[in-house]
Order: sequence, then structure tokens, then C-alpha cells
Amino acid sequence: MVALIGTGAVVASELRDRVVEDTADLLTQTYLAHYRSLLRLAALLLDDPASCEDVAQEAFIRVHAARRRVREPEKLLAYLRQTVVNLSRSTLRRRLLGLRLLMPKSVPHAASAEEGAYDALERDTLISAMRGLQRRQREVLVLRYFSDLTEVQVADVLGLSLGSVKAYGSRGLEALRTRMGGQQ
Amino acid sequence: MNNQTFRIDEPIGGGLAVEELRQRLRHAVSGVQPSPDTLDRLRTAVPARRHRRQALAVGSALSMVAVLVAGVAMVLPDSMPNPGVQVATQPDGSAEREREGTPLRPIMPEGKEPLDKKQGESKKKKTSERPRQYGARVPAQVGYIDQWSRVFQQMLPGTFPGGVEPFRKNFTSNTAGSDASGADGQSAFATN
Repeated sequence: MVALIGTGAVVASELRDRVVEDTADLLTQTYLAHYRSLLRLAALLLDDPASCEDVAQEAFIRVHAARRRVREPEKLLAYLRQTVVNLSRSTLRRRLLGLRLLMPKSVPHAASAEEGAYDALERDTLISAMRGLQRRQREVLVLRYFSDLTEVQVADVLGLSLGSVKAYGSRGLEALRTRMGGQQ
Repeated sequence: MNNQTFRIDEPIGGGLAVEELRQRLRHAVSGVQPSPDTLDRLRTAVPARRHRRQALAVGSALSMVAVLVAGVAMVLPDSMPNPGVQVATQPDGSAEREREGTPLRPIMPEGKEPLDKKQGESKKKKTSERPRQYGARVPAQVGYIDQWSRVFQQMLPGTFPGGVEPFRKNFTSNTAGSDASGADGQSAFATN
């Protein structure tokens, strides 16, 4: 009986180790395959480079911690992308609320010396023009042209109708034309 | 609503086409790289979050069970056992409460006899003439008053110099006609 219990404990620990290893492997695979593109997606959606890494990591943590509840594993990237969009939206909203209520004269984030890439991002005329767009327009343009999603996929990710996606996209392009024409 | 779709060769400001927009977007973020310790941080943070949420779920379930049990105990106080108080029905119809095998006696000041002892005979007759009543009900509050008054008398003698009879009478007069009253309107404490 004792031997049986001992064998069961060993099998259980092996299974647990295997599950942990599988989880780690899947995490590593997903990280290597998608983390960079998700980080760049967050950098395009957010106007604060400092929180891009936070948003991307939080999306990874949330989706992987609840991976057993993911009904379709092949859609892991879609879940991650949607989580990044939602977290970026929450971050922007929270910062807007903080700017309105708590810090009326806050100093904008200054990129440090290590954040050279983000500094270059700040200086890019296209990026600065896109940051002047409405939030929905920017989300549609980034998902459509950076993540290469179809209009139907963009509508799924943003929870909008197809017509709304088309309207936000065309109006966003027009506004981008106007802003970039004004800058040049 | 404008349902116009985008065309690849459609120029944006300054002759920028949609395909060029794609390339410029990618070029703008091409220098953004994850920090070196990101993967290690993710490996530790994912199980930590999972364990935290599991602990939170277990704690919520336990607190819900505790709240449910407390709610049931408050709604149904009669269903809870009344410690030390038992009701035994005698064949002659009188209800006698016993506490751990000892017949209940009212606590009286020294030199005074219980009222029931003086009028015991007449009361017994009256009781015996009445039809039988089984399971005479004693409210739980009365039992607790009696029980705790005895505890106080033993622990702190002199706490109730006049005895607890005034409290009992006051309580039973307030509850007369309801559960605490006997069939003749007297207190349910009228014991032998």
C-alpha cells in the first residue's frame, strides 16, 4: 500500500514536472514567435514608450496563466493581440484620467539614453501624426497596416462592426493625409 | 457611414501610398526590442499569477461557505441545540426542565422559600386537572438567562444580591401569552 502511494506520488510529481516543462516550452515558443511583434504593436498603440513593455508582459502573463481556459489553442496569438489592445486602451484611459484629476501639470515622459529606439519613435513624423488621430482610428490603422489583419479580423479584435472598421479606417487615413501634408 | 475600403495604391499625404505606410510603420518600430530579462520574468510571473488566483478562488469559496453557515444559523435558531437545557414531559402533564440531570430550582435570596413550594399543592392539583400537554416549549432565551445566571452566581457571588428572579419574571411577563407562558398563563419556569 505504501509502495503504491509512493509510486502514485512519483507519477504525480513527474506529471507535474512535465506540465510545467510543457508550459515553459509553450511560453518560450510563443515568446520567441510573437513577443516582439506584440511589443511593437503596443508601442504603436500607446503614446508612452515606457509602458509598452509593461503592457506586452502583462498580456503574456494573463493569457498564459489562463491558458487552460483558452478554447482554441491555435488562436493564442489572436488572444494575445486582443489583450494587448485592451490593455493599451486601459492604460491610455487611466493616464487620461490621471492627467485630468491628479496631475494637471505633469511632465511628459522623457526617453532615457537606453531608450534610443523609443526616442527615434518619438521623432518619427508618421508616428507623431498617428498619435494625433482618434484612438479608434489609430487602432484600426495599426491593426490593419502593421499587424496585417483583414477588416473582419480587425472588427473581431476591436469588438466593432465591419462598417465601423471601414469608417474608422477611411477617416483615419484622411486625417493622416491631412496631418502629414501639413507637416511637410 | 462611409464604407469605402482602402486601396493599396492610394496616396496619402506627400504621395505616401498604403503599402508605403505599412513599410514606414514597421520601420518606425523596428528598433523596439524586448529587454533581456523579459523571458525570465515571464517564466516566474505566469505561475505566480496562477497560484495567486487559485488562492483567491479558494479563499472566496471558504468565506462564502462560512457566510452561508452563519446565515442559516441566524435564520433557524431553533434548529441549533440548546446546551444544557432539556425538556422532559411528565406523565401528569407538567413540563420539567432538567439541566444535566439536576432538576431546575429557582435561585432565591437566603431565608426565602420559592413561591412554588408554598403553593405547590394547589398548583399541582390545577395542573393535574388540565389536559395533558406534551413537549411544553421553553424559549431558548429563558434557558440562556437561567444558565448564565447560575454561572455568574458561582463565579462572582453577590453579583445578583436579589437573585435572578426579577429578571426571569420580567422576561416571562414580557413573553407571557407567547411561547414562554404555560397553559394557565403562569410562567413556564413554575417547576416543582
